[in-house]
Amino acid sequence: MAPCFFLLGCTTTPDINTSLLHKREFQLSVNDQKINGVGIVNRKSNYRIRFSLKKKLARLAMVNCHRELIWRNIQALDYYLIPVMFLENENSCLLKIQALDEKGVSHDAIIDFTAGEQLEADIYCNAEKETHKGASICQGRKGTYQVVWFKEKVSVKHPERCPAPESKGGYQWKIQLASNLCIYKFISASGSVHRYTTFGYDTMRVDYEY
Amino acid sequence: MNTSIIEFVIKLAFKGVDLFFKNQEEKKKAKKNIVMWAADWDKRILDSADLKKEYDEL
Repeated sequence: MAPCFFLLGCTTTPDINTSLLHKREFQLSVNDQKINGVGIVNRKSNYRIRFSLKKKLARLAMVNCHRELIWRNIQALDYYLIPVMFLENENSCLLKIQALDEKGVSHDAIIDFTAGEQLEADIYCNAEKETHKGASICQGRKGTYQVVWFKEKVSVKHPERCPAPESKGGYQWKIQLASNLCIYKFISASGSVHRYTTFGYDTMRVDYEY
Repeated sequence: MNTSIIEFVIKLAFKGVDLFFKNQEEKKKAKKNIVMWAADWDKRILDSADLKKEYDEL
Protein backbone atom coordinates (compact mmCIF):
# COMPACT_ATOMS: atom_id res chain seq x y z
CA MET A 1 0.00 0.00 0.00
CA ALA A 2 1.32 3.45 -0.85
CA PRO A 3 2.16 5.59 2.19
CA CYS A 4 -0.23 8.51 2.59
CA PHE A 5 0.65 11.60 4.60
CA PHE A 6 -1.79 14.43 5.23
CA LEU A 7 0.82 17.08 4.51
CA LEU A 8 1.69 15.90 1.06
CA GLY A 9 -1.37 14.13 -0.21
CA CYS A 10 -1.39 10.77 -1.93
CA THR A 11 -0.45 11.67 -5.47
CA THR A 12 2.76 9.62 -5.69
CA THR A 13 3.10 5.87 -5.38
CA PRO A 14 6.83 5.10 -5.01
CA ASP A 15 8.00 1.50 -4.87
CA ILE A 16 8.78 0.99 -1.21
CA ASN A 17 10.14 -2.07 0.50
CA THR A 18 10.80 -1.70 4.20
CA SER A 19 13.41 -4.45 4.32
CA LEU A 20 15.68 -3.29 1.48
CA LEU A 21 19.38 -3.36 2.26
CA HIS A 22 21.79 -1.39 0.12
CA LYS A 23 25.14 -2.61 -1.08
CA ARG A 24 27.84 -1.43 1.33
CA GLU A 25 30.04 1.01 -0.64
CA PHE A 26 31.56 3.42 1.85
CA GLN A 27 35.32 3.62 1.34
CA LEU A 28 37.82 3.86 4.15
CA SER A 29 41.15 2.42 5.23
CA VAL A 30 42.08 0.24 8.19
CA ASN A 31 45.81 0.03 8.96
CA ASP A 32 46.40 1.36 5.43
CA GLN A 33 44.36 -1.46 3.91
CA LYS A 34 41.68 -0.05 1.61
CA ILE A 35 38.15 -1.23 2.31
CA ASN A 36 35.54 -0.73 -0.37
CA GLY A 37 32.28 -1.24 1.50
CA VAL A 38 33.13 -4.65 2.90
CA GLY A 39 36.47 -6.18 3.84
CA ILE A 40 38.48 -8.28 6.25
CA VAL A 41 41.49 -7.07 8.21
CA ASN A 42 44.13 -9.20 9.90
CA ARG A 43 44.08 -9.24 13.69
CA LYS A 44 46.31 -6.62 15.31
CA SER A 45 46.64 -5.02 18.73
CA ASN A 46 45.13 -1.80 17.31
CA TYR A 47 43.44 -0.60 14.15
CA ARG A 48 43.83 2.83 12.58
CA ILE A 49 40.58 3.67 10.84
CA ARG A 50 40.70 6.58 8.42
CA PHE A 51 38.70 8.34 5.76
CA SER A 52 38.45 11.78 4.22
CA LEU A 53 35.40 12.95 2.29
CA LYS A 54 34.47 15.76 -0.09
CA LYS A 55 31.28 16.49 1.85
CA LYS A 56 30.38 16.44 5.52
CA LEU A 57 28.47 13.62 7.16
CA ALA A 58 25.70 14.67 9.54
CA ARG A 59 26.29 11.61 11.71
CA LEU A 60 28.69 8.70 11.77
CA ALA A 61 28.26 5.64 13.93
CA MET A 62 30.77 2.83 14.43
CA VAL A 63 29.19 -0.16 16.09
CA ASN A 64 30.60 -3.59 16.88
CA CYS A 65 29.78 -6.36 19.36
CA HIS A 66 31.11 -4.27 22.25
CA ARG A 67 30.99 -0.53 21.55
CA GLU A 68 29.06 2.19 19.81
CA LEU A 69 30.83 5.40 18.83
CA ILE A 70 29.08 8.44 17.41
CA TRP A 71 30.44 11.48 15.61
CA ARG A 72 28.43 14.43 14.35
CA ASN A 73 29.25 16.83 11.51
CA ILE A 74 32.34 14.96 10.44
CA GLN A 75 34.25 15.12 7.16
CA ALA A 76 37.43 13.20 8.02
CA LEU A 77 38.27 10.56 10.59
CA ASP A 78 41.51 9.22 12.02
CA TYR A 79 40.63 6.88 14.86
CA TYR A 80 42.59 4.20 16.67
CA LEU A 81 40.46 1.26 17.76
CA ILE A 82 42.17 -0.80 20.44
CA PRO A 83 40.21 -4.05 20.79
CA VAL A 84 39.20 -5.32 24.20
CA MET A 85 40.91 -8.67 24.82
CA PHE A 86 38.85 -11.88 24.79
CA LEU A 87 35.90 -10.00 23.35
CA GLU A 88 36.48 -7.76 20.35
CA ASN A 89 39.47 -9.79 19.12
CA GLU A 90 37.88 -13.21 19.56
CA ASN A 91 35.62 -14.98 17.06
CA SER A 92 33.19 -12.73 15.22
CA CYS A 93 32.94 -9.06 16.19
CA LEU A 94 32.52 -7.19 12.95
CA LEU A 95 32.53 -3.43 12.83
CA LYS A 96 29.65 -1.66 11.16
CA ILE A 97 30.11 1.87 9.84
CA GLN A 98 26.80 3.65 9.50
CA ALA A 99 26.80 7.21 8.24
CA LEU A 100 24.16 9.65 7.13
CA ASP A 101 24.99 12.68 5.00
CA GLU A 102 23.20 16.01 5.27
CA LYS A 103 20.68 14.94 2.62
CA GLY A 104 19.73 11.92 4.71
CA VAL A 105 21.36 9.36 2.41
CA SER A 106 23.02 6.48 4.27
CA HIS A 107 26.60 5.33 3.66
CA ASP A 108 27.68 2.03 5.12
CA ALA A 109 30.58 -0.35 5.47
CA ILE A 110 31.22 -3.65 7.23
CA ILE A 111 34.68 -4.55 8.47
CA ASP A 112 35.48 -8.01 9.70
CA PHE A 113 38.66 -9.06 11.52
CA THR A 114 40.54 -12.34 11.66
CA ALA A 115 40.71 -13.71 15.19
CA GLY A 116 43.40 -16.36 15.19
CA GLU A 117 41.63 -18.96 13.07
CA GLN A 118 44.02 -21.01 10.93
CA LEU A 119 42.20 -22.74 8.08
CA GLU A 120 42.95 -21.31 4.64
CA ALA A 121 40.29 -21.01 1.95
CA ASP A 122 39.99 -19.75 -1.62
CA ILE A 123 37.00 -17.45 -1.74
CA TYR A 124 35.19 -16.79 -5.01
CA CYS A 125 33.11 -13.74 -4.12
CA ASN A 126 31.19 -11.86 -6.78
CA ALA A 127 33.56 -13.17 -9.51
CA GLU A 128 36.72 -12.25 -7.62
CA LYS A 129 39.07 -14.83 -6.17
CA GLU A 130 40.94 -14.21 -2.95
CA THR A 131 42.82 -16.51 -0.59
CA HIS A 132 42.23 -15.94 3.11
CA LYS A 133 43.63 -17.63 6.18
CA GLY A 134 41.26 -18.06 9.09
CA ALA A 135 38.36 -15.82 8.16
CA SER A 136 36.78 -14.07 5.21
CA ILE A 137 33.75 -11.99 4.28
CA CYS A 138 31.79 -11.80 1.05
CA GLN A 139 29.30 -9.19 -0.11
CA GLY A 140 26.98 -10.00 -3.00
CA ARG A 141 23.44 -9.63 -4.19
CA LYS A 142 20.93 -11.67 -2.23
CA GLY A 143 20.21 -14.95 -3.99
CA THR A 144 23.55 -15.20 -5.81
CA TYR A 145 25.76 -18.26 -5.29
CA GLN A 146 29.30 -17.92 -3.96
CA VAL A 147 31.98 -20.58 -3.68
CA VAL A 148 34.51 -21.47 -0.99
CA TRP A 149 37.34 -23.96 -1.68
CA PHE A 150 39.43 -25.76 0.91
CA LYS A 151 42.59 -27.83 0.45
CA GLU A 152 41.30 -30.41 2.91
CA LYS A 153 37.92 -31.91 3.65
CA VAL A 154 35.79 -29.79 5.98
CA SER A 155 32.40 -29.84 7.66
CA VAL A 156 30.27 -26.76 8.29
CA LYS A 157 28.08 -25.33 11.04
CA HIS A 158 25.76 -22.38 10.59
CA PRO A 159 22.75 -20.73 12.24
CA GLU A 160 19.44 -22.28 11.19
CA ARG A 161 18.24 -19.02 9.62
CA CYS A 162 21.12 -19.02 7.09
CA PRO A 163 21.00 -21.07 3.86
CA ALA A 164 22.80 -24.40 4.14
CA PRO A 165 25.99 -24.63 2.02
CA GLU A 166 26.06 -27.43 -0.55
CA SER A 167 29.04 -29.72 -1.18
CA LYS A 168 29.62 -33.11 -2.79
CA GLY A 169 33.04 -33.95 -1.43
CA GLY A 170 33.53 -31.51 1.43
CA TYR A 171 36.26 -29.52 -0.35
CA GLN A 172 34.21 -27.14 -2.48
CA TRP A 173 31.17 -25.42 -1.00
CA LYS A 174 28.46 -23.51 -2.79
CA ILE A 175 26.53 -20.98 -0.71
CA GLN A 176 23.48 -18.98 -1.71
CA LEU A 177 23.51 -15.51 -0.17
CA ALA A 178 20.67 -14.62 2.15
CA SER A 179 19.63 -11.03 2.71
CA ASN A 180 21.59 -9.37 5.53
CA LEU A 181 24.40 -11.06 7.47
CA CYS A 182 25.04 -14.79 7.76
CA ILE A 183 27.94 -16.66 9.30
CA TYR A 184 29.48 -20.09 8.67
CA LYS A 185 32.04 -22.10 10.62
CA PHE A 186 34.06 -24.51 8.44
CA ILE A 187 35.99 -27.09 10.45
CA SER A 188 38.70 -29.47 9.20
CA ALA A 189 39.35 -32.97 10.57
CA SER A 190 42.24 -31.56 12.62
CA GLY A 191 39.97 -28.93 14.16
CA SER A 192 41.20 -25.91 12.19
CA VAL A 193 38.52 -23.33 11.58
CA HIS A 194 37.62 -20.90 8.82
CA ARG A 195 34.96 -18.32 9.68
CA TYR A 196 33.05 -17.16 6.61
CA THR A 197 30.67 -14.20 6.86
CA THR A 198 28.30 -13.16 4.10
CA PHE A 199 26.35 -9.98 3.48
CA GLY A 200 23.55 -10.16 0.94
CA TYR A 201 22.17 -6.86 -0.31
CA ASP A 202 18.84 -6.25 -2.02
CA THR A 203 19.64 -3.18 -4.04
CA MET A 204 22.47 -0.81 -4.95
CA ARG A 205 22.66 2.89 -5.65
CA VAL A 206 23.32 4.14 -9.15
CA ASP A 207 24.38 7.60 -7.97
CA TYR A 208 26.85 6.75 -5.21
CA GLU A 209 29.23 9.70 -4.80
CA TYR A 210 31.11 9.31 -1.50
CA MET B 1 12.76 3.65 -8.14
CA ASN B 2 13.73 1.46 -5.23
CA THR B 3 14.65 3.23 -2.04
CA SER B 4 14.90 2.20 1.57
CA ILE B 5 12.12 3.21 3.94
CA ILE B 6 14.46 5.37 6.00
CA GLU B 7 15.47 7.48 3.02
CA PHE B 8 11.87 7.75 1.85
CA VAL B 9 10.76 8.98 5.27
CA ILE B 10 13.59 11.54 5.33
CA LYS B 11 12.68 12.85 1.88
CA LEU B 12 9.06 13.13 2.92
CA ALA B 13 9.97 14.97 6.11
CA PHE B 14 12.25 17.32 4.15
CA LYS B 15 9.32 18.20 1.87
CA GLY B 16 7.25 18.95 4.96
CA VAL B 17 10.01 21.24 6.24
CA ASP B 18 10.16 23.06 2.89
CA LEU B 19 6.42 23.65 3.06
CA PHE B 20 6.30 24.89 6.64
CA PHE B 21 9.47 26.94 7.03
CA LYS B 22 10.22 30.09 5.03
CA ASN B 23 13.53 30.97 6.67
CA GLN B 24 16.52 29.12 5.18
CA GLU B 25 18.33 28.83 8.51
CA GLU B 26 15.25 27.30 10.14
CA LYS B 27 14.90 24.88 7.24
CA LYS B 28 18.54 23.82 7.57
CA LYS B 29 18.22 23.32 11.32
CA ALA B 30 15.01 21.31 11.01
CA LYS B 31 16.49 19.07 8.30
CA LYS B 32 19.56 18.43 10.41
CA ASN B 33 17.36 17.36 13.32
CA ILE B 34 15.46 15.00 11.04
CA VAL B 35 18.69 13.34 9.91
CA MET B 36 19.82 12.90 13.53
CA TRP B 37 16.50 11.38 14.48
CA ALA B 38 16.49 9.08 11.47
CA ALA B 39 19.96 7.78 12.26
CA ASP B 40 18.82 6.57 15.66
CA TRP B 41 15.66 5.10 14.22
CA ASP B 42 17.39 3.11 11.48
CA LYS B 43 18.06 -0.37 12.85
CA ARG B 44 17.67 -2.55 9.77
CA ILE B 45 20.92 -4.45 9.72
CA LEU B 46 21.59 -7.42 11.95
CA ASP B 47 23.60 -6.47 15.00
CA SER B 48 27.28 -7.38 15.34
CA ALA B 49 26.65 -8.65 18.87
CA ASP B 50 23.80 -10.89 17.67
CA LEU B 51 26.06 -12.36 14.99
CA LYS B 52 28.81 -12.96 17.56
CA LYS B 53 26.34 -14.78 19.80
CA GLU B 54 25.15 -16.94 16.91
CA TYR B 55 28.73 -17.84 15.98
CA ASP B 56 29.81 -18.55 19.55
CA GLU B 57 26.92 -20.99 19.89
CA LEU B 58 27.84 -23.01 16.78
